Amino acid sequence: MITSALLGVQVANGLAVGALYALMAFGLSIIKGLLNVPNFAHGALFLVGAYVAWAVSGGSGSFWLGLLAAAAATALLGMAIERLLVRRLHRGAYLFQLLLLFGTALVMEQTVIAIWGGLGRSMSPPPWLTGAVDLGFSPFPRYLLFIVVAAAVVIAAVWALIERTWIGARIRAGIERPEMAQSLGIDVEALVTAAFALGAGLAGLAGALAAPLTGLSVTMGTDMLAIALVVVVLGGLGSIYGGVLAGLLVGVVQSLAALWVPQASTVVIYAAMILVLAVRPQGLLGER
Amino acid sequence: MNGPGMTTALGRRRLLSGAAGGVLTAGLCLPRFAAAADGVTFGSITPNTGTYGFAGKLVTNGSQLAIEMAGGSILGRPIRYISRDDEGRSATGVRRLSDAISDDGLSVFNGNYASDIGLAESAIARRQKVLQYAAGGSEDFTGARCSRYTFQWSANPYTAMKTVMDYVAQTHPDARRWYTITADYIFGQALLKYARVVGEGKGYSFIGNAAHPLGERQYTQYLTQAVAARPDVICLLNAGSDAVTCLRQLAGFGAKDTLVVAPWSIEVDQLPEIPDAMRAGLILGENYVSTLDTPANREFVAAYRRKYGTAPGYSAAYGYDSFRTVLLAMERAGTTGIASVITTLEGMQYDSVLGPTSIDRATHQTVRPYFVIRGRADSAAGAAGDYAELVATGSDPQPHALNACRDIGAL
Amino acid sequence: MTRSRMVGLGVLAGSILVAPALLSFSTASELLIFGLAAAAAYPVIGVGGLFSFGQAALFGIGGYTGGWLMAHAALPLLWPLLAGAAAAGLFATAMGAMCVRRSSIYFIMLTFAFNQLVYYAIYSWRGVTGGQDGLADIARPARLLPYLPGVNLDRPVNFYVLVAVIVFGCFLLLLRIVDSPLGRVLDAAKQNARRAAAIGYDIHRAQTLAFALSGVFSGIAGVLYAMLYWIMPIDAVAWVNSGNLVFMVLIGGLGSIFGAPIGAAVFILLQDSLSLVWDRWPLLFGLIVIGVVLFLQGGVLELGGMLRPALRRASGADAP
Repeated sequence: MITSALLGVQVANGLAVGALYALMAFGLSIIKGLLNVPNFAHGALFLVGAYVAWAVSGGSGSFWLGLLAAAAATALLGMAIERLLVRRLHRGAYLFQLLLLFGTALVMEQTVIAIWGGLGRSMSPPPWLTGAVDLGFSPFPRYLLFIVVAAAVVIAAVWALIERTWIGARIRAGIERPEMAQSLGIDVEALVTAAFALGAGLAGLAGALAAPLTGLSVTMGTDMLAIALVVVVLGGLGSIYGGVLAGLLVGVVQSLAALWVPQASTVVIYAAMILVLAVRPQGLLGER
Repeated sequence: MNGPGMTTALGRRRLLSGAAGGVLTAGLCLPRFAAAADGVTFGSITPNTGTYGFAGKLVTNGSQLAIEMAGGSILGRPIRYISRDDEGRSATGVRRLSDAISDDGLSVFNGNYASDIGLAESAIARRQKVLQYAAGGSEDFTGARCSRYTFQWSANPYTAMKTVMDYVAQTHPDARRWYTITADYIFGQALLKYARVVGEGKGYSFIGNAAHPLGERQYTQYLTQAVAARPDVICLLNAGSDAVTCLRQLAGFGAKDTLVVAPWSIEVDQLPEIPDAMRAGLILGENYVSTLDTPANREFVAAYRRKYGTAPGYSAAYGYDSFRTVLLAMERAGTTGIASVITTLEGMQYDSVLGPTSIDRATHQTVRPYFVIRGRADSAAGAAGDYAELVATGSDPQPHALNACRDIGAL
Repeated sequence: MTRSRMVGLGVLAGSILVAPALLSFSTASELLIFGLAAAAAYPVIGVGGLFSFGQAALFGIGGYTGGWLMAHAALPLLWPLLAGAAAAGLFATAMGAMCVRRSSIYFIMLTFAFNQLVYYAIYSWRGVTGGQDGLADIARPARLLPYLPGVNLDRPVNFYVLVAVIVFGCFLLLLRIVDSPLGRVLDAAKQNARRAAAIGYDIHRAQTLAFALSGVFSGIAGVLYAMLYWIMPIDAVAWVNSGNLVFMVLIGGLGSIFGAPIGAAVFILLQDSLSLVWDRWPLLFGLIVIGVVLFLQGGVLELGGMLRPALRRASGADAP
């Protein structure tokens, strides 16, 4: 029996899951914007973020330190991947860049297993985030609410960074008019590195936020990557914010689909993507 | 664009590069062993990578120990042991199995962790006439897809559900409204089928079922429905990381007065993964617990601790006990010939690590006890056995009318 | 046919003859089957420059269609083979028609989405496909063609010969396709789509046709694979397998269709040998992927080209 309370809680749940997708898609879009290549290592960065958060918060006892360490470590890792590997390829060598990132992802994933073992891990949220809150129509896990708030704060902060600051103006110029940016004397190379670090850090943070919810498993990165890529394409590749909207939408659609066609909740997204691209090839918010 | 001269040059280049490719290929070939004429080859085709990557090493540990404890030989013939990675994929499993049979002379194997891989390998075992000792929650091994060459180590899902539900009925007589959360593939569906068979016999009502795809990460959308239905019991019919993740997210709903039962979900090795609050009072069904007080198990656990420093879990026990059983049958048969070993195994009665055990002649199901453990919150003690206590044992075999194995085939 | 093609085919035929001496029949058969699947992907990926991540769907549709017929009806091999080729070819035509109008990442994601749809359709349609457990009880047909005497395909050597003949024959046809006007249009569209269109080529039609043909040959490879282990496992349809096929083409070298079977052989044998060395072998594999991308973009064929002067020096022979 499907009541309005149940519908409400499914939507709330969908927004929380969607917030994680949005963070992933946001990072992917920023990297895609400057590098013109979807970051196939984004899932592995998500995985690394989750494990770093688990290790650091377990070691230090501080949940916040875990989140911070995850974002910082993956941002550095992203910077290293861009500087040491991706830069060595011509920017036009599309397939080779994808494969390079795929190989890098494999190495990162296996290194995580080599360090922390293949068995799944459990991470507890801090005590003040455990248990449920009453939404008025249903109990709702406090931690899911926290994910929504945390993701909203981070996305707003990055939005402000891109739209309201001097660095952001350059990043936007690099995405929208790379040739003009170059001729204006903007160091596009440094921008690409910065964007890669920013996107990677967002992936790591998403992993850290997901860890107490889904637990840690070595395949979490691959699973997340497939969804995040779909979200970005749905949102529109021309737009860095389309992915945020599409992420929330996909989360809600998946959550509602669980009410009627639970077995198909994964496949619904792929079917939706094919349909959207047939009707609106540039994605939801994309231009061109 | 290419002139004739170019073409010739290209031709030579192709020839040479083709030859280089050939040399590289030959260099990469696996070393091909001829099976020693007087030896017998045992093997584990088991996941070392992929979702169940952690299990392969444990199965291998147990299997090796069984061979070592037999002195590395059987009936005076040396035992060679090999281990191959099935990568958690049946396509890879069948290839590595076929190669091991043709290149290494493999004649007995175990090691599948996932049922689908084991069932795929079963078809190869039947054709190549090698003995498979499978494990896993699918009833098809000894049901619809039973085979003369395949034996099943794990308990039948009926035995599992009956044992666990008997315990719940006894300790929680008022828990009559059940909500099931099922992994939507053959394993989960078999458990659901038997949950209903056994539960309806007890007058339980099944007020809802949430079916989720295998490998789901996000359970809150199913749990919202489960919690909203206000059941007495939430029963998990999924396994491995699916069940652990599901339990962890259930903890977020703070549904304290709902009993959580997981008849075939979580192995003792995985108990530390479950949050303390969720583990307390959790009722779990198990194929193996290391604290069993049987002669064979005491011997096994002591030797395992000596060699690997920890207590064995399900995967290691499966590796050990399946090979120990085959070696026992070889001794009784007085030969390592697979046909005689199979006829000896059929109907064999023996003491396994699980206690008195027999093998059903008609289905190749190991008729064996199943265990119920109850989770404890105090995780202070490090050893895995301390996270739960053994509270019940049962061994009701699957009723014959429910078995789908009509013809197990010829040798 | 140019002389270079003749030499390449000679090497391929020689390798097919020598392989059973070095490898088991099942591994040798598998190398040939994936060699065909990779070669079938070549017109799309190598010639057309379209990075299709939906090849496993085509392989799988062929395998499940042919496999289902072999499991349920005692027909001569011809019919399951044709049915698998036709089903995969039809699906490929539909998929191609919808995908080729999109470029770069959209194209990759669309083919990937189609692959996922096929995967979940097969996964869900349990009554027919066996779902997660795969399609079981596939029987290798007792006769190849109607009205001909039977052949025992359960003998490994007979099956290998059959696979070798079919794969070699299909490879000849694929070679013709690559060298045909269709191949030239695809290549022109890869170099510069706008100019190719301006010359008057209907590039989308050519690309769709390439997909359709790729589907037919992928489907044949799929039917052979369904017979290989008497089962059709669902992982064969998973998108990971699509990625593997792209990588096989790349590892062999994008410059020639002869690279595809070499890439398939190297890929499979490399994984087999690495997995014996170390449990964490995918890490080594990842490093090799990075190495190939950074230093050996021409694949094994380029490596052969680089070795050529060294070989010549070693043999002390002058250039003929």
